[in-house]
Amino acid sequence: MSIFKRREIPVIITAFSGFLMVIEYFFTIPLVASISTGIREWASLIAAFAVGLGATNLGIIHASRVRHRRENWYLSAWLLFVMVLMIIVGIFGTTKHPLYDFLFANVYSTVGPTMWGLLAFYLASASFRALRVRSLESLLLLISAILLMLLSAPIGGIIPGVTVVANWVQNVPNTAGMRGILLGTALGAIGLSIRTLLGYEKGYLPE
Amino acid sequence: MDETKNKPSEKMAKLDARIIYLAMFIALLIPILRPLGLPLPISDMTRKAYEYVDSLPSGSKVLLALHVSVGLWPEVEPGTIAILSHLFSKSIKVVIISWGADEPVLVESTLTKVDKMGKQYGVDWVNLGYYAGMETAMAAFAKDVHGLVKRDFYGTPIENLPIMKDIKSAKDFNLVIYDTASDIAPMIRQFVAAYGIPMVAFCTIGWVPSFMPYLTAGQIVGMVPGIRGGAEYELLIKRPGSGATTTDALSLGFILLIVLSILGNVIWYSRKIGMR
Repeated sequence: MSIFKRREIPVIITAFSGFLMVIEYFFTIPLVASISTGIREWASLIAAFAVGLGATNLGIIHASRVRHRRENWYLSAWLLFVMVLMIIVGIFGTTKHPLYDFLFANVYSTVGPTMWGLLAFYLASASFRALRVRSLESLLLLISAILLMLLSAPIGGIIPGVTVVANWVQNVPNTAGMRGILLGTALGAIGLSIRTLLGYEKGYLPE
Repeated sequence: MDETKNKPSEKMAKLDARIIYLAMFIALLIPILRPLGLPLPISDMTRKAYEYVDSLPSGSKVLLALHVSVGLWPEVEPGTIAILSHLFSKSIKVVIISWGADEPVLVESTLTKVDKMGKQYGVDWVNLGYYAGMETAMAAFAKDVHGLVKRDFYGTPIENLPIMKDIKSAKDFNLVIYDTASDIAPMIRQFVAAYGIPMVAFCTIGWVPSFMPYLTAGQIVGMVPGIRGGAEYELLIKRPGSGATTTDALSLGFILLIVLSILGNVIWYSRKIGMR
């Protein structure tokens, strides 16, 4: 097998980088600190490259949909048009160009919040049709949801007792539950990290 | 003819979704056009955030880290305007960095709504732009600012910016403010746990339950949640703005959700009894 296809190489690189980070966190060794700083900067550069790779992949997928006239292909064509337009304006005019500013402020900045704003309407419909009290647990869920909605809106503050009860729900049962989840995920992350550092975990490698 | 079809509960159960949408639209629109002026009690978490920022001495350095996509920006913008106004009023140096691609442009637009009180770009505040990699980028920035950041958002080398001369790592900041619509844990790990830098969170309302363990443990010193938190912060700095004017809409919107949840259950239960 070609040396470039061997799985041992990425496992060794991962283990080396990981152990360096762990050593650097607990000990002050100038050489280790310098190498790990370099690795972190590379990681940030690779992440930036991945953004470009993702955009390229998106372009290839949607170009193929347009070429083969798949269902709703015109939406893919529109996506490609807007993507290419923003890239051209962003690269050649920079993000400070008036056209980029115009597109960002009047298209992107309005469409994004609109998508989220629509949730208010779907939530209203879902509250009426789907939030059913079928068990004790769902009753507790509904009561907690009502209390936290009242806590999140100023009107809750003017209904006597609501703030006290809602704060208790948020500070005691919620925080206790969240702590359990956090500790569980932290322990899971430690386990996964140890497996990755020792080369047992290979889920991040290609097939 | 089936008589059950004419029962009010049956008719209500088949209520056209568009009527519900219209009710929500009216509930949100009326208070925006004509604010109801409902009282706004200041929550402890917002007050703690305000008091911590207010206690910072002049000349302190604050990192404002952003991770809020364009869709959720309107929820945190009132708070962001309020905190920037507060920082500029106290002659505190502000370094802005973004962990998402949208935020550098969004914050530039938000800064046009902030009274900078004569503060100078590059001397009193700077926008460093976007750095990819999330927690890796956070760790790299915290360890060696100049190693990661070579130029600001405008392409100026950071060696030419006076504000950046004394900022080498996370240790040089007096406070981190994390304006976020995502998990706070990576910032806690890379700034609070690793360097002991105090942190205040400005977040969307949906993240409040997840951030509570960090607040109660003291890992974040204060939290300003969503539009309501932004409105509270506006009142604390005595500059009511867009947050204060939209909180009534928030109240009526939530009240409608509560009424619909209860009404939906009452109808469902009465139909269930009717079927027996």
